[in-house]
Amino acid sequence: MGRIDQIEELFHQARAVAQEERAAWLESRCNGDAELCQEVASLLEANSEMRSSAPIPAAPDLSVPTAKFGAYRAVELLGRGGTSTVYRAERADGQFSQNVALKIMAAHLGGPEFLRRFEIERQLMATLNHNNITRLLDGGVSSNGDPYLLTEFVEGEPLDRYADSHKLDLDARLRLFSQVLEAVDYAHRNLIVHRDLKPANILVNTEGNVKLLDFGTASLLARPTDITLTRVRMMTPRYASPEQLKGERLNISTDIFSLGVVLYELLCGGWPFGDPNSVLSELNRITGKVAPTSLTSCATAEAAGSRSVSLQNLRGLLRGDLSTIVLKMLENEPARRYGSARQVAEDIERFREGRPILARPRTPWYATRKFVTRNWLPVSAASAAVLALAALTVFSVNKAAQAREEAARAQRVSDFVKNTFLSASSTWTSPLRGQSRAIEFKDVLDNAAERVGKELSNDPVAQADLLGTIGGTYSVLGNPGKGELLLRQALDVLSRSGRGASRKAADLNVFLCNAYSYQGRYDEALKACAHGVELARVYGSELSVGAVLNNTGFMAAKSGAPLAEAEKYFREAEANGPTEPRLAKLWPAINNTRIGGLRVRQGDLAEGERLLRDSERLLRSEPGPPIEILPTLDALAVAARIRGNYPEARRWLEEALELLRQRPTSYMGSGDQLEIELAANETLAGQPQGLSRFQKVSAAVEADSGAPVESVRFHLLAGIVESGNGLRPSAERHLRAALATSQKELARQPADRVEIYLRLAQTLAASGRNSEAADVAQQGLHCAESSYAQFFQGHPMVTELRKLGGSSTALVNQ
Amino acid sequence: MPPDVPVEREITRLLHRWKEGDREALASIASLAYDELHAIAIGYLRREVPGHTLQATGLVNELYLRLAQVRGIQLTDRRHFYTFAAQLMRMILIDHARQTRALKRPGSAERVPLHEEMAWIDASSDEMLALDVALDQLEVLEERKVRVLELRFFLGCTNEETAQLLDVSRATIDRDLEFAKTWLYRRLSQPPNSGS
Repeated sequence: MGRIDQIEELFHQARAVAQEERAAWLESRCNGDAELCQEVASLLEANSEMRSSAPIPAAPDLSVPTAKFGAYRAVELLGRGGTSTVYRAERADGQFSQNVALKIMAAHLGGPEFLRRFEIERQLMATLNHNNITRLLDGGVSSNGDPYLLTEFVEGEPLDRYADSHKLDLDARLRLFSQVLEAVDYAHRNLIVHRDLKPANILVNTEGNVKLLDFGTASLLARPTDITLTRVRMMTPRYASPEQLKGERLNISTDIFSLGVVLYELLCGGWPFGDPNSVLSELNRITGKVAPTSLTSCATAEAAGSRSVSLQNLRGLLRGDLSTIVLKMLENEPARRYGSARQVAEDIERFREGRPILARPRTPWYATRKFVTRNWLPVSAASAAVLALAALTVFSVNKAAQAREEAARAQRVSDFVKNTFLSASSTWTSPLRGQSRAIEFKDVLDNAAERVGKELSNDPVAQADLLGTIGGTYSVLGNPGKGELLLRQALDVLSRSGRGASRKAADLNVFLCNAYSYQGRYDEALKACAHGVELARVYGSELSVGAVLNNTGFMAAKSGAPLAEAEKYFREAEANGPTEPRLAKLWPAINNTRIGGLRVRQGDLAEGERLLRDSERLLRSEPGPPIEILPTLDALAVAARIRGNYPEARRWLEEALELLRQRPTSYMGSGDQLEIELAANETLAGQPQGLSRFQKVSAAVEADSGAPVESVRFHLLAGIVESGNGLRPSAERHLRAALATSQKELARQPADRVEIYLRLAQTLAASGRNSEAADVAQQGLHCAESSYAQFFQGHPMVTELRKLGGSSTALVNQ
Repeated sequence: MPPDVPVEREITRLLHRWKEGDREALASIASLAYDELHAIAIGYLRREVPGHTLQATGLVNELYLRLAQVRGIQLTDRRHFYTFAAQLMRMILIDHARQTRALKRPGSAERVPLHEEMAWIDASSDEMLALDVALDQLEVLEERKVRVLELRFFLGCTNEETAQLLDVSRATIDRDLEFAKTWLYRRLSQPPNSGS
């Protein structure tokens, strides 16, 4: 123990000993170390001296300036602040005994620039003529050079004190607050922002009317030339918005935030961000990471008492809509707050009348969005917007239900979305089939589409957000044209508000991409998606860059882009995994399935099947297995068919169909595709049930095969089934249709034609048309040679084609 | 006005050095950002009415923002930031006292207002300078106590907050303060030239 520690220890111990016994106590502890003893004694003496000398407060300067301010002179000091001193004043000539308030700006604010702005702002403020705003009577510069303002003198109490001393209940408080909102809205419409709204600036006079003080003073004092010196003092940190604390540009949203804090305190009696007297809690707000405490948990028994209700009732009243309203005012992001004070007033009015409010509760919306994000991939290109639809419906259902329990609500929403999603997907497969299910949501949608343009014009981000959601929903509900229109409108709103290049724009492009793809406009779809990728790379995406890339790869493959190009997107997607833990875990499997499938199609069976097997292993290691295994099983079946192992292909497909029966999902459509695939493999394995299986679903699948890729696949499989069952003329028609579509629409994906040539050659050979069969086999070999490249030699299809070409030629030459 | 980029980079480098224990770096930072920081602080001091408390929060807000604008600085380390802010605050106040003393007419008793709890010192410019010297002396004996005093009085943190920041118990801070205040009181009550 060092010397100083020894001294300190004795000092603390001695302080606990009674004064008169200390000397003896210390003596006994110092073990003859006289110096130590003296040092501690000296400190103890200093300590008691320090404790007995009370600080003397400086006498306040109560004097009143003698100068004249216009026609007025100061009479009595009312208050002093950092930037001004306020006096009660009366006319110097004594003509009227009317009281006015005189506010003299602090001398250090002077200077020519300040005076010029002072004059402009003063004139602006003079135009405010509202019952709830203190009137500016005069202003100018005194003979001493001090700028001053003369305003109506208000005798009243600050809002919070008034409400508590009158024990106002919540409804009375809300009515008072509505007066505040009306005044603030009036000022905003006159382009004047308050910037320093707080209870001390909101007085309630003896008649119970609200009077706002100091309108425009804060902006008057914020000198553009001297921002660092003044900006912090120009606000009260306790009521300041995050953007104000950060010194950013301010607009009316700042006042909305401050009013949010005022309302919060008025309702529950506490500050939303912790202990208002703590330096730390205030500083932490600058980081913007502090979320408001919930209204209900802030309420105390004392607060309930001054609101004339029991604590339990107060909590009950604060739950739900009032929370939603206050939290919307307190959003960190200005764009997420109410667009105007009037909108707040209207929601409060709705609440008071027991009607549904317009603000959307943040939690469920957030929960829904999270759900969409998490499930983006399973619903991938085909039906992501089904979830958006569900989200929208949740929103309106919630509003209608007026749910009061926030926590329970989040859970219900999550359940509702899941149920909507599942039930929708089991009966609804594709927008192109135009199922009647859309009717149920049509009213909600049309109504929302109509409202969004009107009500959110002040808030482009929210507007674009909602337009995007509705647009995406229309797309999947069989009206992708209207969806496309709304989505482009959403993008337009964003770019007009200067956010054309943003995270939101990235997301909207992905939705637009889907809208195009539903209309069969794959080139435009790919373009939108690729643009989305570019934006997402820079700004990120709600859906994660990886998810956007994955979707783009999907679209590229579908639009007929070279398979290698699609593969590139998936490879990049794999490297940019999403953060959501479940998806992140499955991510390699999800992308390797796609890459593996593409490798197989390009003739690289070895690498393709290796990737598919890897994916399969990863997915099977998860409990379930997860539904994401469906495309893996499907791709493994295709690979097995190409290798000529039809029983193996059948096993993959049977497993996939069983899984789909247990857990319906729109991930793979209705499963009809898989049935056709299975029918083809049964036929190739020589089993007769393939034909009836095919006939059961063929009409539906054919109608559903909008994309050239799907159409080609359908015709190929139909050809295989019919050819194997002796229906050769029809089979030939299917196969030739597949070939024609592939050549015309999918010219840049030649590898897929190899199998068509093979099946056509087999069909022709079976009909004894050997010369044609030999020709087609030859074309198939050419096609394989150019598209399989290094995988040409030893490829099972190539071997088949050679065999068939050889035997047909031999038969021709016989 | 946004700071010059080269200055930012230099500040970043110095802050890292300061975090690693280089005490000289603090003075270098202060001199780099001096004009701005000084203007901010003096703005506060000037606007304070005598007898009122100095609102350190406003100054610290500014300081935080100023540093937050410095790219690459991780202000997530609260303890470093606040102890830094407290020390910087002390430097600025002392510096102001020095200038005031140079300017003032003999016999005038201009007061440098500190946090209200600092009233037991009732600091004039001379006393502020004496306090600074005394704090340096105490720091030789017990560094942590000076950090506690700085947080408590120059930044206006409560005892609870100080304890949280320094990751010690509230009781320890209470004891630290009692002892440190006593030690300083005795030191400042003594004639300037006597040793301790």
